[in-house]
Amino acid sequence: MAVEVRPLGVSCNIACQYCYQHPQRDAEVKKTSYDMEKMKEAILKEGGPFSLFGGEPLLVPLNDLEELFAWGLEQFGQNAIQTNGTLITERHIELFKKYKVSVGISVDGPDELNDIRWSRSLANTRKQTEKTHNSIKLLVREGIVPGLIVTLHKGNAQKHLLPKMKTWFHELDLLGIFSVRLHLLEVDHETVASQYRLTDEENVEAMLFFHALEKNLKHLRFDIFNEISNLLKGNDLATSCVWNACDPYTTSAVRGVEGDGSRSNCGRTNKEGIDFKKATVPSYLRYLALYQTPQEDGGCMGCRFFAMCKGHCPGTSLESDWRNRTEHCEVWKSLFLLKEEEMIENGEIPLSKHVTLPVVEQQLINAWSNGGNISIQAILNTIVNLQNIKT
Amino acid sequence: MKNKKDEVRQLPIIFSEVWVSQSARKIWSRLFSKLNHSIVESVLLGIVQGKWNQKKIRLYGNSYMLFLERVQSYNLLYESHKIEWKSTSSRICYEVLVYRKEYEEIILSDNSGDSFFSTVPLSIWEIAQRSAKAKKSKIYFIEHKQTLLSALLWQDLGLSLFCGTPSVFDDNHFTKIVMEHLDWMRESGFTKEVSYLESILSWPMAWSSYHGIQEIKTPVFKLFITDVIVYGKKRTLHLIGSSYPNEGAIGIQFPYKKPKFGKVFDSKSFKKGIFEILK
Repeated sequence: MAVEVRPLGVSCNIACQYCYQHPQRDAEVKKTSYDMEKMKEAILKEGGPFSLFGGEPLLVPLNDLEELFAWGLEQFGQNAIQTNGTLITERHIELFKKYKVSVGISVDGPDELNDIRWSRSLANTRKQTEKTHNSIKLLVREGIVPGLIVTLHKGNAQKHLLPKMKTWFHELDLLGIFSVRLHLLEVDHETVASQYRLTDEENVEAMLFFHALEKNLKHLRFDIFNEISNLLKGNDLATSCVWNACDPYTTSAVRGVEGDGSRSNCGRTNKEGIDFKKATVPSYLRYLALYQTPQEDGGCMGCRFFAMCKGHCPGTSLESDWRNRTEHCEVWKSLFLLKEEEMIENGEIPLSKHVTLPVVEQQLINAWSNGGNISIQAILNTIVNLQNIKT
Repeated sequence: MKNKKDEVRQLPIIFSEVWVSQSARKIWSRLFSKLNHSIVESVLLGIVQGKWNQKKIRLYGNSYMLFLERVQSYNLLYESHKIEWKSTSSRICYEVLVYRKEYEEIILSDNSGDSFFSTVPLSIWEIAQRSAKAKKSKIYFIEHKQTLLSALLWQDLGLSLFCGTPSVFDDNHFTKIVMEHLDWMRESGFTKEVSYLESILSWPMAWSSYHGIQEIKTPVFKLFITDVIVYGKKRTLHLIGSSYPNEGAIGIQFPYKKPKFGKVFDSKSFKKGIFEILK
């Protein structure tokens, strides 16, 4: 659970049309300053290590970046940054190398497939896209292999665009990129929805396409497929936060530190455009409610994948209401079914079909009812230990 | 009215709140605490000074502890009852009847049929539906002008101005009770507290309930708490207010003050993108 540090809040040099931070940008005053000492104090209180985040963190001047990275390396032995890649220079790369900075880049595809990551005009957007791709190549050449985040939408994942995406991923694979996180579009505005949102069928088709593609890639992996396999195997310790019963009032996986040292939540839950401060204690009422709510009403009742999925991220909920399950339920269900079938064909019993599933579900419910959270792995370990004691 | 899909389901009572900013939390937490204190104190003073012979009130969380501390110093008697349907381990709700010693026999032998123990009251939604001035523009969505009876929505923060529950937001009887209490508080020296109370009771508020979870949003914080009734379709109530605190947030949804211009979604650049991308 890294600390996400946002010295300039959600300030960014581009304006991806779909960005989940736009409600906040619409509502709040742009942040133009930060307090280094207050940020460091907050990071230490949170226990570090940290990842520089935004908006676009490379809007922070080089000397301040160096100060933060130097301090981060000294304190925690590592650093990280999530960037759109348009502002990376040789000097930045020197810092990344010197201070052991892991780099994550958000980009949705080559050329026009990245147009939705908009920057004022089509010409300028294409220019920024070129810069991002050049940055990726430069980083790899310098021995820093970035992880990529790719969001799927009508601009890059409609059926007729998938072959171009395939070519691109092959190129990335040859370049040496090995980790790509595929995101489904989170929609916070009806215009964005009508223009860019893929249907469930299109999302499923794209995901299955990339799943098949992965088998033909040497190094590059889309982490989502491995995560779903691991969840079905009961290995949820290293899975991303979206599967782990996030409370929208505390968003435990994201410990945000703002430029003034204040704490904040994951921005995906800021539907009102307000950067609410964290609640003091997490609660899991959403998951208790979803477990008991019929699927036709927006819940997860009766779904055999609930223990693994838990209704997914509250920031992606139906009707933008965190009390509902994710709007992408059909997509995730398709992938769980795919991986479930694969496991069965390999002679394994996935958790979704295992006799222990009711026990796992009940233990999760018990934990949430008592204000705590527990991993599937921990539950299964307890079951195994109990069985060992009995025998 | 509950539709056939609504049910009473057993979810544990859980409460959580978040603030729009550190400064809002600092200022208003302190004020809410002061307001709780003034409400408790004014009830006790009212009984001691003969304003009321007895008074029923609901006390949440720390307000009850405060009450226990203060009632002894006034040498008053009380009966209290924990209300399970509103209780959590951290936010116990007590319904309390306070009275002077000389009324002890009368209180204990009261056979008027007015049971001390409350039945489950009407839900916020039911109250809103019945209210004469409610605007029902969409199914399951009600707008109503802010009234003193929005104090109902503040109970989970311990600001309890009365016991029992009105059946409508425009209930003259309960409005009279609240106004009487506020007048008494002014007379007892709590003028400043009353002005804060009147101010917060004129803020815009949004209440909704969905799948057994209520969410209440005010300009300075939002909270969620388990609802006794589980609505299969979301119920929403907007209380349209007439004032807004300085610490209130700017936001893009009700009850927050909207920015005059959305820097992104209203911008030429965004609209240009919509026009040019995917052509």
